[in-house]
Amino acid sequence: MTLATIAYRISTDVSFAAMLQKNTEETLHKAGIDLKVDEKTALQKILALPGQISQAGNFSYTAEPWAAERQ
Amino acid sequence: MDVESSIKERLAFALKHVDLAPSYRELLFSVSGNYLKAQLDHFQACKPPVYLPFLCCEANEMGSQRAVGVSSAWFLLQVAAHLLDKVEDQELEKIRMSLRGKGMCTNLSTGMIFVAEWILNHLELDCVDAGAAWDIQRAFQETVLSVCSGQHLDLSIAAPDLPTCWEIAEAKSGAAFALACYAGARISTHQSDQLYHLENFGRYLGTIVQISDDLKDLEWDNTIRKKKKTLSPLASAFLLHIGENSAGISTPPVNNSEIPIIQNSLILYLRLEAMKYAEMARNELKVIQLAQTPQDQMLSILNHLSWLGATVN
Repeated sequence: MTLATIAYRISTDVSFAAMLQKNTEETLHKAGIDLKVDEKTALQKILALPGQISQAGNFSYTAEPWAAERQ
Repeated sequence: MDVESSIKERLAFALKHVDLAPSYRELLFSVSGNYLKAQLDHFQACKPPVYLPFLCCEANEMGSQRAVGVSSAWFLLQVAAHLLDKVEDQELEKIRMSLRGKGMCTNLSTGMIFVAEWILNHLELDCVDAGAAWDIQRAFQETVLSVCSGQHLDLSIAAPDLPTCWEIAEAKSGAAFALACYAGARISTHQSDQLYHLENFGRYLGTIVQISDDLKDLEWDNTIRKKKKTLSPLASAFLLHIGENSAGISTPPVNNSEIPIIQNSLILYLRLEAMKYAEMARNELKVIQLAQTPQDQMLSILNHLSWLGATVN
């Protein structure tokens, strides 16, 4: 569940988010966060997205719209 | 193969062989057909989820035509679960006006489940051998129970913690998508390692679908909760977890101005989890031999769903 911690810190601590994008390994190490391989790969993919990572949770999106046949 | 026609033909065949009121038969057929068309139309960048049993069958070097019955039954269960979910979560406003009565919706869902059962009882139409057919029926029944169990937890635990939220996600959509992959593959192989890894692939993919459903709920919550300014159960579980596990981070109490920040970090967290599950799903496919084209199409579905709306595919 350390991904939860990382997501919260990215969203609330701009300097942490910037450091994480600049040097992921070192920042995680300093924060005492030990990720599993799958988790680290996931984080690196999100960090590689263009734009500010602290805004990565702020996007519009719809799920299963095929099932939302409102009439 | 024309998936839409194949599934609709099988459905029509099943409905023709049971004694039903014409209006009920028509409703079962039209609602299922509409949902099928909606799913097929929606997915442009990749194959829609209803293709999963076909692809898993084909991935083991068997013609996908033999997966028509299994795919039809799985799709009916998918729609039935969706409708029942709306009844149980008291969200009937999210479905078609004509189905918004609780009784109508529940009875239609029940019918779909038993039409699916009828189709599974006639897998000889797809030349599935008796042993495989028995195992596929077992898998369907156990999965339906798992989904019901997950839904029970979802409905009965007022404030689940974060691990329980994931347990519920894996028991619901995770189990349903694991079934799609297992049942499709079971038609074409009885090799346990192939079945095991494809089932896991489906489970992780289904968990991603549940994440996307949770995100949709958050979006819905943001709309209806503007006046209430309260956190969803998932947001509460996330916040509780952060408070319990992050030294130096103070969380509750949360005032109204902090709610958008919490929602934002929760969405980011869910995206990270989706990416993690996608990585786990990819790893499952790396350890088995599959036909290239269907494997690529399965990965395409995974890539599309795991980006949760980001413009990648």
